[in-house]
Amino acid sequence: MDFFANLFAGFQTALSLHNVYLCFIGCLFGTMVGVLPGIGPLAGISLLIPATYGIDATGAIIMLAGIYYGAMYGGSTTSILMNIPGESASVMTCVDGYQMTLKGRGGAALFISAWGSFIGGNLSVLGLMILAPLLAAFATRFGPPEIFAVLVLAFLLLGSLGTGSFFKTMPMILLGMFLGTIGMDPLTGTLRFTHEIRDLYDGIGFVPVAMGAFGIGEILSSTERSLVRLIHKVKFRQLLPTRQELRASVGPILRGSGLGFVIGLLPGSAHVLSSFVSYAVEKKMAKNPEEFGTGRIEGVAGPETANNSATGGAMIPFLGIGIPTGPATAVMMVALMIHGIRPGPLFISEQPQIFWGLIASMYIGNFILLILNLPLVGIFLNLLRVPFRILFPLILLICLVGTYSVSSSTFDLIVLLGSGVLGYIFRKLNYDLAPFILALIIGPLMEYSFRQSLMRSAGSFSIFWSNPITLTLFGGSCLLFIWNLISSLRPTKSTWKKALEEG
Amino acid sequence: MKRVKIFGLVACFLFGLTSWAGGAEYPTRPITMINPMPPGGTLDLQSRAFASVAEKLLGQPVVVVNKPGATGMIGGLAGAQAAPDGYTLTVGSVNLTNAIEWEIANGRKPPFTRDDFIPICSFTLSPTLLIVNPDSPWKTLADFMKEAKSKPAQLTFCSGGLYGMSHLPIEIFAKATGLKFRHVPYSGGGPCLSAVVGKHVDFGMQYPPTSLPLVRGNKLRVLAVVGKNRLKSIPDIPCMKDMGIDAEYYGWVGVMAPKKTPLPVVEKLREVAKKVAADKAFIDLIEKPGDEVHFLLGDELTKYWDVESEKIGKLMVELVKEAPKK
Amino acid sequence: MKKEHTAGLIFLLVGIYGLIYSSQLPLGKWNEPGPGVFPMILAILLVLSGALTMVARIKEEKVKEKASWREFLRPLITPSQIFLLTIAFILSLERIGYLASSLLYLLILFIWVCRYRLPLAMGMAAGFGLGSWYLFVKILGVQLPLTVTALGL
Repeated sequence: MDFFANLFAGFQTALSLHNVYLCFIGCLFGTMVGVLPGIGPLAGISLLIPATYGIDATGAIIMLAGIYYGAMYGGSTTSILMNIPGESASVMTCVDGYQMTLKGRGGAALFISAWGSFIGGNLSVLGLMILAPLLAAFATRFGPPEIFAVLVLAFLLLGSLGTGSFFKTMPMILLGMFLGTIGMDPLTGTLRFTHEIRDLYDGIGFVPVAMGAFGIGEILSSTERSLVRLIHKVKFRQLLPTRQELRASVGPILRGSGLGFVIGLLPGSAHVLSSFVSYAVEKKMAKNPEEFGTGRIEGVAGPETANNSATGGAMIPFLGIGIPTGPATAVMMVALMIHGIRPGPLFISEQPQIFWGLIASMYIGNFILLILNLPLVGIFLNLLRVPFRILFPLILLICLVGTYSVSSSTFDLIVLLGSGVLGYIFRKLNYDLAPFILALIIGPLMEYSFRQSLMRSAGSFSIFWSNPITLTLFGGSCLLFIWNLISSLRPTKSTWKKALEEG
Repeated sequence: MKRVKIFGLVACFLFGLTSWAGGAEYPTRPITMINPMPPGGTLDLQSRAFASVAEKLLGQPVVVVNKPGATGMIGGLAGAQAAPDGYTLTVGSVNLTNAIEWEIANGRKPPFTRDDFIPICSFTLSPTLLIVNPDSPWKTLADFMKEAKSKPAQLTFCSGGLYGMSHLPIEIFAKATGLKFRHVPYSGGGPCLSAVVGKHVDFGMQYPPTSLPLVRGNKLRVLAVVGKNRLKSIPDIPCMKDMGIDAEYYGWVGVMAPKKTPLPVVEKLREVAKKVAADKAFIDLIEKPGDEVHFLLGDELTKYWDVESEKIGKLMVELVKEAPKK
Repeated sequence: MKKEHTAGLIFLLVGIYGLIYSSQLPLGKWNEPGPGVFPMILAILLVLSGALTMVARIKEEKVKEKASWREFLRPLITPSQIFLLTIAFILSLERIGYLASSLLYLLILFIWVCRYRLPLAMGMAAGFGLGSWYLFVKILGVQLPLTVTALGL
């Protein structure tokens, strides 16, 4: 009873002209920030905090939240159209999304990704609304052993991301993990592979590597032959997905929403993890998994939905208990505290007008974003009409500025360029980049949580199977591992063909 | 040391004269404050609070920019190397001291030192709180210490990062009481709090703004304040001094300018800082989350900083010696 | 095939580098791994997979027409130009400021790589350079080098 009354009151707050305006600004800014490579939601939120000084707390958080999930909508645009991940969560979308653009189906990809984001976003707000207090406590039960268990599962899924054989994907994963160890070891303070270069103390940033390897690598390799590229004549019909594509997207969207929401709860890089787990799951469930990487709509629908739905999940520990699990929610917490609000376990009961106002505004925001993004599909597609000769210098410049704007570090620019060269080389050698980039994140996280767990248990490995959560997750990993073995030993017709072709 | 400072001040004055001849009254453009910590922490909160009030008094926007990395070293270096014109300031904190002393203790030359900065002011001096999970059996500090004594090196604690603001107070406490604990480093205050709430570790030490809301919500219990005085917001909790333990550690947040900043600019900033610290809006912003305003101006801060650096320096050297080397 | 050889070589070299430097790191105990353990394991696996990749293809190498050096290097011209220009941009960014660097960068790219004529290239470089500056600095409020002093704004 109370519940609906609260929600109703929330909508009344959220629908005030003032708050709708702020929501709109947040969403618009978020989309812009998501589209521009390099600048992610975190930077966007930090940039706008001073603008919130003069507004009330509810309005402030409505605007900042709008930036947060708005960025997830925008990030897919550059990923699909230009193979440049707008921010870390959009990396997976590049893989099949860009291929779809090359085939002329870019409009459909953008369309479905907007709808997927909408549905995922709304479902996760629903989950947030109903389950926040319960799940918040659950989220704190995830300690290092549990996180490690999740990551092992993710790692096994990583292996199935590549388009080639296991032996081609594995070295890239190893390479990514190895590069991830560069920097100061957070558990002992020892410097690894830094050779007196202070900029390396924190390791190699994910954003410059992803942007470089995908975006700049793509530009370098497409400028090899000629600078005249196929300009896709955009017909209106091409903007919309075919019925077949729509039908194929339903499953991934639903699954992505669920996955994203759950993974969003977990501490750490929820968005990246959720988008790639969704991709891997879709690939495993598809009838022709080897087509993934050539432009399958499921490879776009799933990850895009998942990364939006992860925002809802990520806000649960923050709103429910007052512990932010990621940098973006941490900044939102600071913004609230500047307004004198203390998010904590009592937040929902003590500040219902803020909480419910926020929830209602998230529904509204998702709606605004859908309306914003759909026409933008047409506009962005028209951007593709711009001759490549003019477009690519701009893309280069934007990538460079985007990276610099986040960290103000010339070193990051060098990493960007270096990854571009690396991406270019590996593209020529026919190796997949996605597993490499994701391993860059997952590797160090795995090592970290593994060693942390052992530090807690003073060296006893039993910590890994001492509670139901870890048991379930490890059980799942074993099953997955066995499934992988079986399916690789029982080749399908297409893998036989490929094996013969590869020589 | 003192001679260098006087010489420095004279040089600044002369330098200041030349820049006076140049232009209009400072500030004429927006001011940047570099925050060497990642966004979302106590430094972020308090420096943004400062910025929001200071910009009204200065008449120019004051923008906090995050430049995280290497526990404050990257941002600190950027701040130390910034142009000394008063338009790029650094959010100073005890983290600077930690970073500098850590490098020195490890036999490396730190990328910057205290001399690279002119302290403008500091506005908080927050002690840490010893927090445990409310379901744990220890209701008072005495209970806790008794158990710790009977089980040496078995109780676990979390910190937000190795040799950082939430690790050092625990080491200080351990040395003052002769107790031994096991350290599980986490990355950041948030995960650390989460660990205590989720019962993954036995205790931790965190700062009031982030811990107190959890205490009110019954997710955490505070056993002691690691400092010389009790906190206004939790008057029933004893402080270390009450218990006769010589352990104190304060996280302070303040504003620094690069070392060659002209004197008139420094004076103006200090003046504004004093006004900000007395401003009701600012005080509210700091006290509402549970902290207290504790203002140190210019030379007072320098003195405090020197004393603190010596203490922390010694601690770091001991810790490095004790660290396992294989 | 040359491709696999190169790839395998890269993995092998990185692996060897990793082995050398990770062996200098503390390894810790069996149940309390130190910072050197993971990098070392990864390095060993890299060396193995690098070697395997190189070896596995030797058997199946068909005798293909050896591509001439020129044919191999030709497509690399444009990417190399872009690479060099980008390095120049990166190095000059903090020295001459964003506006100047970006204008020069775009200008030279347009003229040298994209083969536009001077007036058109200048126009586009100016337009896009200023436009991007406006977008990032004014609208987004991002801190870019020397933007303030460059134009005294």
